[in-house]
Amino acid sequence: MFGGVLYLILDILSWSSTYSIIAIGLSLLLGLKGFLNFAHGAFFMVGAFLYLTLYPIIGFFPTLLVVFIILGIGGIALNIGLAEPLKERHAVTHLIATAGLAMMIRQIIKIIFAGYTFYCPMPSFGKGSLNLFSISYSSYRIFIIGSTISVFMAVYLYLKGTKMGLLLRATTFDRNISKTLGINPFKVDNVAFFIACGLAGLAGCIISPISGAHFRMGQEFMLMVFLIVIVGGLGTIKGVLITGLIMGGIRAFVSQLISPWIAHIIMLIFLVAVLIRTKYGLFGVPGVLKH
Amino acid sequence: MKLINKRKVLFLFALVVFSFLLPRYISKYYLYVVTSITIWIIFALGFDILFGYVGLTSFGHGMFFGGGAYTAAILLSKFSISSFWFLLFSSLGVATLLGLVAISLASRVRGVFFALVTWIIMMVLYYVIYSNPLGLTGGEEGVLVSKVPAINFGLFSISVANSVNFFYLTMAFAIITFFVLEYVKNSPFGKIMVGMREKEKRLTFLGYNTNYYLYVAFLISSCTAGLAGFLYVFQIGIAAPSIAGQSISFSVLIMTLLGGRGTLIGPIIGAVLIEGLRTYLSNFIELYLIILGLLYIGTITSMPEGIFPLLRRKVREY
Repeated sequence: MFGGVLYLILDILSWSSTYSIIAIGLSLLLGLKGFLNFAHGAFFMVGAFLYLTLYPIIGFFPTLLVVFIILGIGGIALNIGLAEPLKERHAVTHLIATAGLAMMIRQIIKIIFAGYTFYCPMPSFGKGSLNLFSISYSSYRIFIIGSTISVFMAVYLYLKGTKMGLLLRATTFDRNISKTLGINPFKVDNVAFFIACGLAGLAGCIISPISGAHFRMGQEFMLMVFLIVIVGGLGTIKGVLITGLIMGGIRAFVSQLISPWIAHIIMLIFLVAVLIRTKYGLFGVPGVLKH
Repeated sequence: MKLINKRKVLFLFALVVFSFLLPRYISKYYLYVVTSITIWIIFALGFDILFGYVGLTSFGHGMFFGGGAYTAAILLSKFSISSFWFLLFSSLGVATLLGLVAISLASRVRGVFFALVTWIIMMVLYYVIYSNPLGLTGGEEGVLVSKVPAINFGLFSISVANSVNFFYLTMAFAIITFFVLEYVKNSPFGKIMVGMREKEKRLTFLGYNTNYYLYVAFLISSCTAGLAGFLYVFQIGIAAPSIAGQSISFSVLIMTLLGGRGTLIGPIIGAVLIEGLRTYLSNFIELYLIILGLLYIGTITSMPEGIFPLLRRKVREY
């Protein structure tokens, strides 16, 4: 009995951390810059394929670092190429433009790697299982739970504890006042895009050993991530964490008991329930996006 | 508002003559292409009612297209119902019903959320179709469709199975759709839709229940998408999950955006351009999608109003 409950708890934690680690980059960009990046799933997918390519050459942790930097530079390119020219336009414009970008990235990956599902090698420490109390659980899934918690901690500490975090929050709070104080908002934006897109790539690396790499994996995960972001409220990190837990719970429960497509429908019903109650999600505040 | 004027009658006459003469002068392959374009025109016109006139972006119109297509395919193949009218009206009915479900959820929100919520509903439906519930949708393989059943008019029936007659059928539906939507656009209802696009809050100040107009516009739009899906499934002969997926939604979005939203001519131009491009690049289908993505970014950054309004403005300035 105790073992079963523990197993279920670990299942819920592992599913919810899988979703949350993807959602954090999206939510960060949304909360800080009001930019909704539909191509986030594509960046995530690129991260998985980079992991597939780089891991045999340089090993696990260097791959994480390199992918974070590569995708981060991609994020800066996104800021210069799309976000900056469209800054004054309606938020739907960002969504449409990044949807086009996502389509392009997906096709380029499809041309390079063809439409197969690739098995991504698991690092040596992730093979096998850990014995916790009375049960044994896949140690890589426990690594995912741990890395999600550490990513959240790192982002939180970065935003609250460093000078750049202060600047990020200041430019979000009032762009014009920050300008008068001698901050260059464009550079600060670049940092936000770097971190957000880099985190997408990092999530791709970390998830790919259990999901495999496929050019369409982005949209499968993005369905969950957008559900989490809308239900939790746009741009709140707390919302992402708690809704991620709820969604992970639904996923773990229903997928085991019945079938995955019922899980999707139940999540949709959950979204309905939240939207009927409030427009802004569980923890959201009005005015994140320019309407 | 005049329902019939000289220009419209002339235009209609020219269209009918054009579509009657066309199959005589082009090969079977190009007839197939023109039929596809016509189906996409129907879809894009319906999409434009929502995207161009009400001003809301839906990322989920593929579900109505796919809903219409799958309804016809399942009824025909699994239940062997071969009455054309029954298939048509059940397709339209299912698409409208899906539209009702989608809008009753999405009408809570506007703007970006609207796009995301419709996208989520579409993706959920896509996965439901993909996982083959009750063995109806056939999972990844989809449902194969035999020939389109003959249209029974009581006294006589017309077979539309050959490509020329099917083209006439599609063209007839396209013309009907165009004139119905033209009527809707010019009616007081259409003016209110434009009002919603410009400033919804002000309409509510004037005492209009804007949600009601949103519902009706969305249902018109989804019903038209269902019609297009119904025709499309007989055109390509199979209903596969991708027919309800996001590539369909994004294709129709770029057609309307590129051609010019908020006009009824714009989506036609867009459908001809995009579907023409797809045919031209049919041997390099991956390249086509990359170009489509580029078109997205290019259109939204440098030509947000679209081709037709741009041309119209240039001509007027000239």
